[in-house]
Amino acid sequence: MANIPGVPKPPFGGVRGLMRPLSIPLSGLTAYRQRMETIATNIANIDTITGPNGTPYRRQVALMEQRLNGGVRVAGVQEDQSAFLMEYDPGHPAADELGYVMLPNVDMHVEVADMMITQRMFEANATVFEAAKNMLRRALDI
Amino acid sequence: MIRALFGTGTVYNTLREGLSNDLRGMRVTADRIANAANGNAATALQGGLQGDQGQGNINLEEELAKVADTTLRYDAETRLLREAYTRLRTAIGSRG
Repeated sequence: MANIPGVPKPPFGGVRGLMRPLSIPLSGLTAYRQRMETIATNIANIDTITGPNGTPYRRQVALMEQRLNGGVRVAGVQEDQSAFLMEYDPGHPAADELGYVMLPNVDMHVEVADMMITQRMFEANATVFEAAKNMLRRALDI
Repeated sequence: MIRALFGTGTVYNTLREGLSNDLRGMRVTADRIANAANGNAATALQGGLQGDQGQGNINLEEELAKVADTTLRYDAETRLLREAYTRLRTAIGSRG
């Protein structure tokens, strides 16, 4: 669009500016899906007493990070270094000489709480995406 | 002539600025919602490595209400702008 002296430039910031409100909730959808995968892995391995290195499964945490240009992303997945749970079960094949079995440091309550938050955040981002999409559709009607 | 029609202070420019502000507002709200659960207490590492370091104090309901409000305002502005352009087209078309 040609610049006309005295007439302000289009304030939308071009097509990129129009699409930015879509890219931010999209990043949220991607990030919370990844976080949900991490939670699913934790729950799936809640009884895994022998991992690849011989120790029980360690809980994984998706570390969320704010993107510089807006939005959110999973910066990485880190292992929770808290102590393994110990359960007294002398008959278990993996029990030590005192009868204790080392279990993964996964707490189902924490995982379910995380899962609920993640689900709600995914829904919130989906709502924003839908709203931004409708706004763009309206803009095309002008 | 064109400046008088589209320049500062005209209904077209006011509405266009309104649309732009709504888009900007939507971007900010979307960013706040996307980062609302960053570093929340439930997700913190159980070993205490990470605490509440994100924007956990964001009220999600308030932000979603803002989304609804912005969407409605944007709808109204696009409708007004469309009608204003229609009037202008009619005026241009009926001059001869």
